[in-house]
Amino acid sequence: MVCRSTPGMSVPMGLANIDSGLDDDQIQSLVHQLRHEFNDHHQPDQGATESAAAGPQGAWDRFRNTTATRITAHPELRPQRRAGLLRRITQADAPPPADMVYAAEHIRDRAIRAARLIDDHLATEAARIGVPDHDALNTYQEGRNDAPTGRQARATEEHRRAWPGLPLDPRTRHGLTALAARPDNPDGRHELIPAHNRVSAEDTRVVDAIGYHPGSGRLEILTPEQAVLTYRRIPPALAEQLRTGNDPDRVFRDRIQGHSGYQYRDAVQSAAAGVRRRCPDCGQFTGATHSCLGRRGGIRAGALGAVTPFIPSRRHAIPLTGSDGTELFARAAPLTQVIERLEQVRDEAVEFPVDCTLPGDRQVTGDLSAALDADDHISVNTARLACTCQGYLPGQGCPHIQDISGGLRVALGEQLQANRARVAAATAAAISPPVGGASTAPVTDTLLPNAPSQVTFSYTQDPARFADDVRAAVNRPAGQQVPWVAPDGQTPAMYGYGADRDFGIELEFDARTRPPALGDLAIDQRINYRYQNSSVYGGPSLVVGRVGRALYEAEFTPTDRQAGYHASSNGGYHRSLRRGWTFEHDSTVNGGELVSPILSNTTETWQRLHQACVIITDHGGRASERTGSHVTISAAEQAGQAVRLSRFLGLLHHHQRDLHVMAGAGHRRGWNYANPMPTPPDQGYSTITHARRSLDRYQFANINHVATSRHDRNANSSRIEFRLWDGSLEAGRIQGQIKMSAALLDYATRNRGLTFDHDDRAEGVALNPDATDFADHTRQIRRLIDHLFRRDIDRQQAAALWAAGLDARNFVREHV
Amino acid sequence: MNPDLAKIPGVLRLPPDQIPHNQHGDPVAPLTADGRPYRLRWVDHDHGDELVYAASADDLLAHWIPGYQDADSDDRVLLRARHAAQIRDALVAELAVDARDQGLLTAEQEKVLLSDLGQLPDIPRWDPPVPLVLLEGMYRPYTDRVPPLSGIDGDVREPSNIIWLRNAHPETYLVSLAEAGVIDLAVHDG
Repeated sequence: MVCRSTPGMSVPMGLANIDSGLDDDQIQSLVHQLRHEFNDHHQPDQGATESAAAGPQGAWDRFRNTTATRITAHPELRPQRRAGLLRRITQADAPPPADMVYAAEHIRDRAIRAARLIDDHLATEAARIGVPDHDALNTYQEGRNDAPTGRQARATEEHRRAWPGLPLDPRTRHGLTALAARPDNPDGRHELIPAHNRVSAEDTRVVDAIGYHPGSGRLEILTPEQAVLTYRRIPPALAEQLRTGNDPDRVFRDRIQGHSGYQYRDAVQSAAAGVRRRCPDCGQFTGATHSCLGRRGGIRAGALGAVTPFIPSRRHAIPLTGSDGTELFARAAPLTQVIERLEQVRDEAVEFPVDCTLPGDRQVTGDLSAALDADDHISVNTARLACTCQGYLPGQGCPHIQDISGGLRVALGEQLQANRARVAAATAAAISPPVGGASTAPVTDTLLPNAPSQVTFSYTQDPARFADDVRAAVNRPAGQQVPWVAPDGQTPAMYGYGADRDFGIELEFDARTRPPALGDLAIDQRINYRYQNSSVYGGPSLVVGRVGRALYEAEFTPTDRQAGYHASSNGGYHRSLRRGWTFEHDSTVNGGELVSPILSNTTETWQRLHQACVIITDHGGRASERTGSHVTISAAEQAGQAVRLSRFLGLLHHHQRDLHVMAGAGHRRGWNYANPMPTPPDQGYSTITHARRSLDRYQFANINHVATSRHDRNANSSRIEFRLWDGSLEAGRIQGQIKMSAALLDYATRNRGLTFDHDDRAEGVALNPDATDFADHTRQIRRLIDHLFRRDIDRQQAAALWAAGLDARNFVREHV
Repeated sequence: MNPDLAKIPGVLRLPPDQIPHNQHGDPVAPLTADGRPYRLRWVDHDHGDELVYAASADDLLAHWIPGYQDADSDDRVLLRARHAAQIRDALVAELAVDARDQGLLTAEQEKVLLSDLGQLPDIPRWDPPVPLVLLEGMYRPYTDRVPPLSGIDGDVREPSNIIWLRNAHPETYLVSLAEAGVIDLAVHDG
């Protein structure tokens, strides 16, 4: 009995014994559990130990003071016992080890809860076996009595899992095992309420018939559709109102429906409570939530219920009015915190310290227990308050204690209503549409892409899969690293986020410096004369002429001549895939730029895009360090929506290091025309103009075409230009860039709750799929790809796009 | 996550491989500055399964919600409600996608599920297995509004097809998030 022989420990263990009804062995077992619990958190080589080592004296003194008050005020102690306990706790001034202090503080409450758990366990087992409670209790007690004597093995982890929270001394374990060994007896189970009686009122919509069990307060309401609604602890008068009243539907709605005090926790608890059993104390047939008048608290538990102690960090002065009209000030825990705890442990007590100095130098000190019942009535228990007046008797109190406890009960009731009003107001404010009328609706057509997820793997959860796909992409021949997703009638190229958006692309290209001489290709016979004469020996003009003619013959462009810079934007964009493309001059390259019409996610669009890439490549165009692919995505919903735009820019900023990798095409393009994103303000940009001022047009994304107001005449043509992508004439890469751009914008637009954690990529480390830390360094991009794409092929394509940029990452781009 | 982590004294973030060990070499949970067990442990699956210990629910919420730490109690209630509304939106989005995949909702039910919370109609009864996600602060006893009955489990506190985000109190809110599967939380019941 090491625990009990520790000076002072016998006192809390004895009080726990009295208050819970558990025996010495059970209390001892719980003390051991508490000590283990503490030691499982104890870390001797860390800073916390020092404070823990300094803490026991303070904690022990605090505990001794509280316990002394409890002993003084305990209603069930005889004077001699009270004096003995007080002497022992007073004399035990040397603190025991920290784990023992922890156990001393918690044992009483833990023992009361354990006693309740035993009650519940026996009742549940009785229902399972199909026998009356007393039968199950007898089996348990016989098992305990028959337990072998002498030193026994300790409880195992299996025991702890099977009987959580119960005392696990050898005798209790033996009793529980004997009970568990009894087989199920379904024939012994009977409904607690065998029949339901129709209510008196006619034409009811909800309450058609009811069954009521007065012993447990269980109410079963049968609806006209024969559904059964079950409740517990319903007062008989309320049940009678339903049965005989004129409007039982209204009584149900106003007083029962959704009332947490009357609700079972879940369907399982509700069903278990509907089984008929006989109470061993009062002999009634009863359900699981029987409140027995014939016993004291429970099958074994003592008269006191579970109590949650609440030791506040500070106390408030609370004004009260005494019965004689005098004004009093009690010092107690902040009432709003007490109420919060009462609502969390409804029907159980919360105990908090109170002290009050009264006229005449009288002092009331100790702990007040309060409880909130099903009907929101607050009750208080003053058993742990003591007064220095002559009239005070332990267990009976005095008028001063009555004044203070009554005043606090009223104050708690007022606080309960104030707290609820505050929560209701805050919730209403949180769910109200913002000023300006934008909807706070989570989804419908805005938050979710109309595309069920078809993925069969997750890169987030399977980093090895990501490494494999990266490796596969890297090992593919140059120019084919990013796979092309060929659309057909059943499989669109874009799916999920961004698939419904219009887009456009500018394909910049340089001319090969040594193209085949004029006349080597059949098309040379037909190219525009302007390009024939200027470059007899080949060179840029010849390539420009060839590409221009080929595009014209394939019905991309209306003419075989290269148009001037920005001819398409000056002339307005078209939607026609035939002759709607523009082949423009661009001074930053010596080839030119093919500008698409407004495109959408159709099979023909992708076929034309693929064809354009092939034509340019076949006729001497190439991607270089000077070329970029500018992807434009429609963004009408961004017009005037600074919050939305901030979210999108935040997403780009957050992922820009990985996006830079994806953007790289191996040509070592600098970022003169695609600068990194500035860090967005913490609260986002206040207006579109504010955002525009912070970014210039040569940034990662150009937002100059987003209208500043939803009412702007150009609002519907708002769009965002993605400038980060390296130029490429690989169809797969171009497709990947477009899909990534559209998905990023769409995802940020639809997810209003988007938040950004810190960047968890290590800076400047080698991203090698064969390295052991690859999974750690790719967590962020894996998660992004998983969020953006809802098909396997799209995720693989995005992974390949990222892989294809790895070669470039060690150049300037990685170190953003 | 709130970037001002250093200002939240009740929170300790540990990578899984830095869990302290006791004298026997067994991994143990850390203690607060005053030598007591932390009340809550949240596993941050978005950051390498790091373990985040919090002395109280308010501390953990402060870890997530910017401004929560310095807010007074009224503002905290509001910040919590806003957070719950955001979580609800994200949760509903996921549920709706899954439901569409499996064809579990009628068009009308989907419309209710996806409704703007501020314009959510009174729903007497919710029958589909796809959970409706609601904030407790919208209903009785906080307002006069009556919560819907579950067509599957009846009128119980935790029906299988209604997810209640219990935003009124810090700890019950965290527990409701855990029960909804939004977070991975353990509560030390000491």
